[in-house]
Amino acid sequence: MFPDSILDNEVAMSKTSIIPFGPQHPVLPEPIHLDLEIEDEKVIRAIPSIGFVHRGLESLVRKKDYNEMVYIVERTCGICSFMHGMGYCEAVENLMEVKVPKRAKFLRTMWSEMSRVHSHLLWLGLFADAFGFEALFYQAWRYREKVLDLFEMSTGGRCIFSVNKVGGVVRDVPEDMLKHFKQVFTDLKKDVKVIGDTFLKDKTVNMRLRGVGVLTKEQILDMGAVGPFARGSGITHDLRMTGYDAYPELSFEPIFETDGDNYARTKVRIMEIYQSIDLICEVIDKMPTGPVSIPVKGNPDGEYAMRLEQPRGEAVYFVKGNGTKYLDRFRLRTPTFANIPAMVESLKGAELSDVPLYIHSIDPCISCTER
Amino acid sequence: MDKIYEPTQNYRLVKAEELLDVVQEKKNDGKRLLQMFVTHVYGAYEAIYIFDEGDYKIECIVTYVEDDETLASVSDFYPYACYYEKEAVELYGVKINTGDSFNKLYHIAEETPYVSRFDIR
Repeated sequence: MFPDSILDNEVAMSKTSIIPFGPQHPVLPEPIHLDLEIEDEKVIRAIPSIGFVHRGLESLVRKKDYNEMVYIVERTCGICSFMHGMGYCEAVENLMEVKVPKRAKFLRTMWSEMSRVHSHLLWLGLFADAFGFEALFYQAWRYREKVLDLFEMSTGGRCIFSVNKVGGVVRDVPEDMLKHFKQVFTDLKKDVKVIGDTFLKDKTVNMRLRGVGVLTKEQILDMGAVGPFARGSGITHDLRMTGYDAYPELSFEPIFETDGDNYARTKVRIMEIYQSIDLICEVIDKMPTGPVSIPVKGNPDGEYAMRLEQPRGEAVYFVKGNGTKYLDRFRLRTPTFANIPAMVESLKGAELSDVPLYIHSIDPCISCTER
Repeated sequence: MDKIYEPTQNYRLVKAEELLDVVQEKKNDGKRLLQMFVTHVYGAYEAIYIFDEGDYKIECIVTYVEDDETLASVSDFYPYACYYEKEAVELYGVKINTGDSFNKLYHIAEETPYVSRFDIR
């Protein structure tokens, strides 16, 4: 009936094929391509490639002066745009030894934590969509809208905010608006708890996440991963501990889990949402009065590498000035680029049907990577 | 916060032939490579390796290679460094024997697009 070779397991098992995954794929939000080398349904190797929408934003540093460059850097990404602008400004401010007013630091911290809340809610939605729980996806994005509304109210934008400048921020937030923010976030915490509990306690969700995509602490260190992805494997590294902006005056401790699977990464991000909401309320309570920016004189000269904790992990902003208003070099190392090697490592041995979950578990932002 | 780490940074210029010894020392001491990148400056390539020294301190190792020289690959010590090295090779045109098993990371139409755009004279 069947030829012997088909019935012979050994022969059938040894067949290797390559499946192209992306850059256009239903579960991929952004263009990354993987060549998946598979045996039966198991991935034995993944070869990544990027660059499909590379924009070369870094090269614009030679054409725009260091103040105009803030608006270019913000456009690296539509999700973490605030923190990209902030990281660049703080790198230049540190280089020029500019002392930013305290209120500006608190406002930057508040907007940063708001960015983290909406980025993690976006990820939770996309992750739920990737494992087929669409109701959870809609709920997560519904709550994210509330944060975007607050961004629009305070900055005028929902994606690109343009409130950072070298020397502080360009907009102040009035006290009554801050009180409104606190009320919204207090309510939001109760709402997010409902979807958070579904992620962490629902049986079907647990079955898809527990024990999937396990990376040990040693593997994470070997592959140089960062952010919540690394903190899910027991790494306690969080750059907010360096005490930039208002963090020294806030009660903050890094959140981490030790299991190293997709469940641990999800739990870290959900706990970070609760923590960020607490930090926002604390910032509003402790918000000092005073100016939000100071005039900056002179031009940057020298080199400085600023590191920030973005929602997706550690981002490095390297600036090199030459004493003129044009910088010599600006280099942005994004967390997604740092997490790709670990993601590729985790794919070894994965089931083909779980590949989207593995990719989503690093919270990929290819827009950042294709800066 | 109970403890605040003061971020500090050092810059160290090393010769290209001493680079691997310095990086091996970093690896043996358990330091983390944050990133590596190159720029074409004054007719040579400037390569900067940023290391996390622990307690949120960083050190930048700076080295220079001529256009026709090959920069040593550090991916034997840090496997993920090959991604940064591939970016440097494919976007900036520096010569590095990345020595890994896949060929191309960036799918872009123009080869080494940043060679002239970042040329600092």
